Amino acid sequence: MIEHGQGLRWHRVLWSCLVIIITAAQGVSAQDRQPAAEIIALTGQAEIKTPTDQSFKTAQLRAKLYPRDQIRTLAKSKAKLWCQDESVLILGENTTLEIAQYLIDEATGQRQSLLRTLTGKLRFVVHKFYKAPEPDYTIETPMTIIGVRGTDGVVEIATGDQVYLLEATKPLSLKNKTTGEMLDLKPMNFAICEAHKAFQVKPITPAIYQRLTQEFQLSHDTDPENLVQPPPPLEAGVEPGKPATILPPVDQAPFSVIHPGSKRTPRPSPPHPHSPPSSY
Amino acid sequence: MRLQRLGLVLLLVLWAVSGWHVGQTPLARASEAGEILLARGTKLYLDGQYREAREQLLQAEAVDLQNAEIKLLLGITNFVLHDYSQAREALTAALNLDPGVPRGKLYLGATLYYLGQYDEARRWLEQAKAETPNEGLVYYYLGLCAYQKDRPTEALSALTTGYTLAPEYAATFKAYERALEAPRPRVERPFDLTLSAGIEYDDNVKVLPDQTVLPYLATDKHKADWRIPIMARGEYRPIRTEQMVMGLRYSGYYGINMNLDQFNFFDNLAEIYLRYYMGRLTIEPSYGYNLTFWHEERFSQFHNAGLRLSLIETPILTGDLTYLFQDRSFRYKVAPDYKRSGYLHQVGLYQTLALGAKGAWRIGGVWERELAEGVNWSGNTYRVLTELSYMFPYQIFAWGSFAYGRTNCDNNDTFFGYRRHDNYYEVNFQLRRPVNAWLDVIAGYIHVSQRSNIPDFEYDRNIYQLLMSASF
Repeated sequence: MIEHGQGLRWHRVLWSCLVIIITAAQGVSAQDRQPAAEIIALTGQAEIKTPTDQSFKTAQLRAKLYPRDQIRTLAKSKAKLWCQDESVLILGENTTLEIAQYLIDEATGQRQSLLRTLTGKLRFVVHKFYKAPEPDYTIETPMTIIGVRGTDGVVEIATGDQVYLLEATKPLSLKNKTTGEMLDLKPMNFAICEAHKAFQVKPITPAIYQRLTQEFQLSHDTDPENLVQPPPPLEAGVEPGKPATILPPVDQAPFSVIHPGSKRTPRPSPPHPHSPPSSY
Repeated sequence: MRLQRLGLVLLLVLWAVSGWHVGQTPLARASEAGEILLARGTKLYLDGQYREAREQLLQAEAVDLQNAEIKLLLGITNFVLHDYSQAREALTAALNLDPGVPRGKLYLGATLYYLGQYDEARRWLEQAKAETPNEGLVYYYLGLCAYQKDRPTEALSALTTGYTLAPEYAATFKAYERALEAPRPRVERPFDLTLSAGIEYDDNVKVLPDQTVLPYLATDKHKADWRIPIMARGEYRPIRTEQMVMGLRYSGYYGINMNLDQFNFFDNLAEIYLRYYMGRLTIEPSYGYNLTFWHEERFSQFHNAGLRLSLIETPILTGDLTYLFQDRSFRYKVAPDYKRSGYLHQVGLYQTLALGAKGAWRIGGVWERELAEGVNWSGNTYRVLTELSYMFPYQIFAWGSFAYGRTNCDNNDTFFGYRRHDNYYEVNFQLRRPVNAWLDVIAGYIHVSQRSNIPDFEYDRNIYQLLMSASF
């Protein structure tokens, strides 16, 4: 009986531990699954893949992205993401991005973000609100690690990566993953990062600037609701501020009410019957 | 020297090609701050917080003055908020910065439509059509502009194309197609003129009582006659702004009796008015001069001072409050006790309910105070009335009204020795159908019945009319 009781107690402890572990895991998962970003503009087609999905699924405007989700744009498509920390990411066509890590603590002003750009082109406008001494926003490509501290840049992935820094108060920290070389990229310059080669740094010419501007233009494309619901024709005013009705104004008959005794529009009444018509 | 010149020219060419000069106006990117404010505004817009979105976008615009995307979304947000003047400003700026801004021309065209600038709207929409010939909404708005400009064939054609290209919006825009088949509000013009004439049968031209105590009234009981009515109504609005209209209007009636020509009646009312719009409220003071003749002799002369307040209470309900003061002078000779010259105060309150695009129903109450020189007319009249209009198929327009009035005189009738009380009933019914764009045919019936505690004031009257009415 004692042995049985001890066994029961062990079972209880085991089950309690299991419950605690599951609860904790669920807690982490729920915290982890806070949305990191939302699609706020979209032209063409974009797709999202969550960690549990086997394949990408079509994404709509306002779709939310969570840590460890991937988003990709198809040909002739662009998407703009509004991140929880108010950073903005604009994906060019044929671009795949993974939100590998996204931790925000607004109370302490701490964040730790890691985005993996697997293919394509990405413009990143990282909010300066979180003033960390070291880069706390990392974008990783197959070739380069980019440390960001509140800046506006573009990364393009081709045979080698090209990283552009447009406007910024601080340089971008670049690291070539194959050589380990580090570089601080200054504003209005771009760096070419290729495997086993040193960084090449060049200035951004007006032509490049214009190209980047055009490529990452993504206007709002949701029609205002009253555009497709115009007022009924009755309200398309005949006179400003006055709805059209097919009754005349209150002080006018729609057609002359011909007998002079009409009361609505005061008119001369007939003579008093005590007076014979011949008398006037 | 030649080499130096060549070098200078080459430098200038390089400078011009490079784009780094003041004259160049490339597409402007949003700056870091501008992009974040734009994105914040976009998010608020998508969340339906339009006023907050506008705040953010105005800040973004201040940061990036040359950014078309910001101005476009600012224009759209103002459009949603029905602030069409601001929307026009922002969308025009967006298109100036980037003529290719997506759907910008459609949005600007629609904005101008709501501002009533139909020609300008059409110009932008035609440009949008040239660039995106498969955009259904462009055709819908072209149809609406044509509708407002009184071009029904063009409107129908554009709407039909819109349905084909964007059937998902068809239900919304179908209302306009239906309205095209019904008589539409006329395009505001500086003048209107309507002339009408026809034939009437009046079974009591003399407005004689059914029975009378006065023997001389019973001598000639023939009181029915055929009559040719001639009616004119005109309005001229020389001063028109968005806020006010000032105009003149005239209505005249001349009834020519076939046999009882001593009862021919000529009524003229000319008015000058100022109609002032204050949002949903319209204020209309007016002055009128009313002159009538009976058998070619002057019968009465009134000076009217009126005030009408109209309030759009809801999109389908309008309230009217009216006041009228009349200084009345009757010219026929009569004993002093029966002199009707004097003053009249009238206050009316009405509610008008629009029945879709095809009809309206009105109900009202009127109080009238008449103060006459003679004792026999002064009194109070209380009246209720209702009228209904409706457009039936085949463009048959029906109008009917009913009024009941109760008059309580102040003083004893000099003949009967007690106070007179009248009950007045009036029923009108008209059917109207257009023959062509400017001519209508009208069939009407009017019944009036007055009951009184003094038999001399009791009468019945029926009028049957067939009229043609031409509008210019």
